Amino acid sequence: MNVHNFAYKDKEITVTIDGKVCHSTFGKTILEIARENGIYIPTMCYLTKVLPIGSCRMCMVNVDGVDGFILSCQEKATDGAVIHTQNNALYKERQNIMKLYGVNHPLECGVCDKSGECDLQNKTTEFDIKEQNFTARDQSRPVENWGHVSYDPSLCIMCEKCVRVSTEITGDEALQVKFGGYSSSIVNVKKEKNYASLGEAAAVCPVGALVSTNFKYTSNAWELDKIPSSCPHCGGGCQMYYEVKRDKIYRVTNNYEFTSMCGAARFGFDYANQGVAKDEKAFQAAVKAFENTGSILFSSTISNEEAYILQRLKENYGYKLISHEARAYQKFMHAYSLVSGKNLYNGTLKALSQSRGIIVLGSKINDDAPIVKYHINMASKWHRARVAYLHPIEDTEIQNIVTQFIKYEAGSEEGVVALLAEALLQETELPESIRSFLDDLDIGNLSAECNVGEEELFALKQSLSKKSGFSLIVGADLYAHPRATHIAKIIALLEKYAGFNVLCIPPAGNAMGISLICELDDKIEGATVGYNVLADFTLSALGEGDLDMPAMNQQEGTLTTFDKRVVPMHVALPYGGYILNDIANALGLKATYTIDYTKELPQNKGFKCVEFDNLPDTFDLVGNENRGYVLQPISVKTDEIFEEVSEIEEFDGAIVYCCNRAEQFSPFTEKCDLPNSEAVLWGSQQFALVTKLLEGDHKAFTID
Amino acid sequence: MGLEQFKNRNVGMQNYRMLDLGQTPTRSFDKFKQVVKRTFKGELFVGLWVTLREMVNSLFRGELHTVKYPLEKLPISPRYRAIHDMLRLLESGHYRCIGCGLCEKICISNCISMDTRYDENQRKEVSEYTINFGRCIFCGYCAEVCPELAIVHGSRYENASEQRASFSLFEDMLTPIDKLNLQQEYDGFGAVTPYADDHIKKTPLAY
Repeated sequence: MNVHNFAYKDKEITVTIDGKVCHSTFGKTILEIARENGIYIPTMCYLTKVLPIGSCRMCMVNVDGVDGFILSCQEKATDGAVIHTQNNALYKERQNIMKLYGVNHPLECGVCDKSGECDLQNKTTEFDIKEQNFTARDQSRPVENWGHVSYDPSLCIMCEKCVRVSTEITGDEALQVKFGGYSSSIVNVKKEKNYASLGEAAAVCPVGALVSTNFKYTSNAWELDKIPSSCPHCGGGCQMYYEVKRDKIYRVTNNYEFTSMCGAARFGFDYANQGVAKDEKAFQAAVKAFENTGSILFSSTISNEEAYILQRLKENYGYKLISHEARAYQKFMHAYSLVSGKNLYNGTLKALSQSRGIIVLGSKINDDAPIVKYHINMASKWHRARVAYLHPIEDTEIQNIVTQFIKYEAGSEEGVVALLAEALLQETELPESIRSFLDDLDIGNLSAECNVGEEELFALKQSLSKKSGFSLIVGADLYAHPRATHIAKIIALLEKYAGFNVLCIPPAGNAMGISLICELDDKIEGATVGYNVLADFTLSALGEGDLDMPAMNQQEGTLTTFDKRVVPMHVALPYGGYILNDIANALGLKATYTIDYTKELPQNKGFKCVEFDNLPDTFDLVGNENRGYVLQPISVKTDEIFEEVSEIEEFDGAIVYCCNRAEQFSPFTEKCDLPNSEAVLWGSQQFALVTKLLEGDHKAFTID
Repeated sequence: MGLEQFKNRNVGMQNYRMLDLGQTPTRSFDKFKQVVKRTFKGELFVGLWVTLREMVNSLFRGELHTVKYPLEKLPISPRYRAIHDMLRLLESGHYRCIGCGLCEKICISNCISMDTRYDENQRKEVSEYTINFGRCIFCGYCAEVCPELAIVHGSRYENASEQRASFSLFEDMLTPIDKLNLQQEYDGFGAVTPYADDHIKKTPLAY
C-alpha cells in the first residue's frame, strides 16, 4: 500500500535480512519486506494502512556499511542490502524507548480498557522492563470526552496513529497533534461535529488513550469473544468482529491494521431481535400466508442465501419478488452490461484508493457509502487525486477532498452523464456509432438544461489530462432516474473506452447480491408477504411484524459487497425463533441450515460453488484481503445502441433531495442507540419561499 | 523411659492393681442393706457439690466455660474461608473494588459476575456485583487475586438462609458505612490465629 515510486516499480531486488535472503520489488520499505517474509521487527507507531509515521523509532535496524540506526518503516530497501534486525545495541535502544514510554504512564492497567490487548503492555514485557530510570515532573491532564470517543492524554504515547487515520483514511481531519515536547497531546479541532468516524481513530490507538465512550470501562478486552463477521449496513460488507459477552454485543472491532470501517459499522450494532421464542401459531400463519400470497416484498437487508431462498420459492410457486431499490439497480446494471460486456462493473476499492482522478456522480457519497469516501480520501491524500463531485447539492463534509464541485440541476442526470462522456471521450478512438451518438449531442442545449457550464467540464477534462488512473463513482440518484438504463449505457462507455475504474454503488444493503440472485419484478400482484417490509403478512427482524425473524447479527450467511466480494457473516447473538429457511422447508424446499444454500448461489452470475464453512476470512501478513471470494465477471452479449438524450420534464416547485443521514442506512441502524444523528430537512431561503414556509411554522414530515 | 514396655505386646496382669470391692451380696437382705447404705451415705452430694460450685462460679463469679452460641461467637481463624466481605477505603469510605474483573476471571466455579460502567466522575464504577453462593466453593482465589484487598473472606460462616441471594449482593457484603471503624484488615492466607502463641501446647515426645 505504501508503494509510491512508480518509476522503478516492479524492479526486482534481493536483500538479506537476518541471514534470510528475501526477494522483493524496489519501492518497498525494509519493514514491508521483513513482514512479507515473516521476519519480526518491533514497532509501536507503524500502521500498515497509512503512510509510515516514524514517531516511535522502535523499528530501527542496522544495515551493513551504514553507520547508525536506520528506520526500517521509512527506508526503502536497496538491492543487495544486508540488514540486521536484532542485536545487543538495538535491544538496548529499544529497551530505552520502552522505558521512555513508561515515564509517568499511569499504572492503571487494572481498570484500563486496553489491558490485555495493549501494545505498551506487550512491548514492556517483551523488552523486559523491570525498572524505570527516567523521570519527569508529572502534569495535570484531564480526560476529555469528545462524544463517541473519549481521550485520556495521560495514557497517550503520542504515536500519532489516530491523527493519520483521521487525515489519511476517514478524512474527517478532526484530530491534530498539539506539539509541546513532553506536554504534547492530541487535540480534536472539530469537537462540535462528534464524528462517528473517530471510532476508526480510536481503533488504532495502541494504548487506552482513545477509546469508545460507550464501551469505556464496561468490560475487559480479554473477557470478550471475538466473532468475525461482515457489516450488513451499506453494502460495503466491511470486515468486523462482534465482541460478545453473556449474549450481549459490547463493541465492534475490526482488523484495523489493514481495513477500515465507518461509524455506523462500529457503533450501530445493537439492533438484534432478542428474546424471541418459537411461536408455533405465528409460524403456521406465516406458512399459510406464503401459500396464499402473490408477491413477496423485501428490503435490501437480507443475506445472499435468504435472497436465494426467495428466488427458489419464486421458481416453485411463481411469486412476484418485489424489492424496489434492488430492482432499479438490477435494471441499471443490466443496461450497463449491454455496453461493457460484463455483468459487473470493473472497479475495486483498492484501485479507487490508487486513482489520480476521481469523479463522483449522483451520490451523497459521504453518507451513502462512507467506506468509498474513505478510499477517495486515501487517493486524495496519497496521490493528490483530483476529485470532481457532481451533485445538485454541495456537501460540506467532503469539501476538504473535493477539488471541483459541479452543481447540476436535479433530474438532469442523463444530460450530465452525456456531457461527461462527450468531454472525456473526445480524443478516444470509438466505434462509428458511438462517435456519431456523441457528436450528435447538442452540447450547448444540454449544458444549459443541466446547468453545467462547458467551461466547468473543460476544467475537469483539463485537470485530468496529465494524470492516469481514473475512477468514476456513481450512486443511487442515477438508479432511481426514469432514464436510468440509458444513463447506465453511457457510463459503461467510460469503463469500456476511457479505462475508468467504475464503481456503481448499490443503493442499500445487499442490493447487489439481490440483483444478481433474484429475478425481480416490477408490479405487485395478489396478497403480499413482506420481509422487513410492511405488507399483508409481515416477517420482521425489527420486532414489529406478524412473525419474528433474526436480525443480520443473529444469522449466518453471506453478503455481496460493492468490492464484488462474497463475504461471510457469522452469528453474534442467539436467536430462538423461526427463520426464513424454516418457512421454506415447510413449503417444500429442503435444507437443514440456511448456509446450505451458499454453494448453490448462481454460478452463471459469478458466484462460486464454495461451502459456507470453507469461506476464508483472513488477511495475510502484508494485508492482502482473503475474505470470502471475488465474484467472477460473466461475459454478456453487448448491444451498443444509444437513444437520444431526452429533455428534462418541466417542473415547477421545490425539490426535496432524500438521502441517508450520517451513519444511517436502514431501519436497523435507526434502532441502534449510538449513531443518533437527527433527521432534518435542510432548506435555503429560496426553498422556504417556494414552499411558502414562514419562520415559526411547525411542519411534520414522514420518510418511508 | 525406654520403648521396651511399648514393644512388649504381652498383655498380662503385670501393670494392673485389683480393687478391693468386697463380696457381691447374694442374699436378698444383703442386697437391701447395700442399697440403703449407699443411699444414705451422702455420696450423691459429693457429685452435686461439683455442679453447685460450677453454677455459682459461672453465674456469680463470671467463670463460664462455654459460649452462649447464638448470642456470642468465638472469633474464627483468619484462615477460615467464609462468606466474602467487600472492604472500604478507610480514608474516604468508598468501596475499594476498582472493577478490574480479576476475581471474575479467576473464579473456577464461575460464580462471580460483575458489570462495570463509565461513571460521571470518569472513573470505572462497579454497577453490578454478585456472587452465586450456590456455586461458590470458597476456594479463596478471588481474595488472593484481588490487587486492592477489596474482596476478602469474612467470618460469616452461617450460610443457612431462606434464599442464598440473601447475602450475595454487593451491598450485603460491603462493610456498612457506620461500621467502617470496626472494619478488620484481612491478614491473608497463612495468617496465624489470634493469640496463637497462648494456645500452643508442647507435644510430648512419646505417649
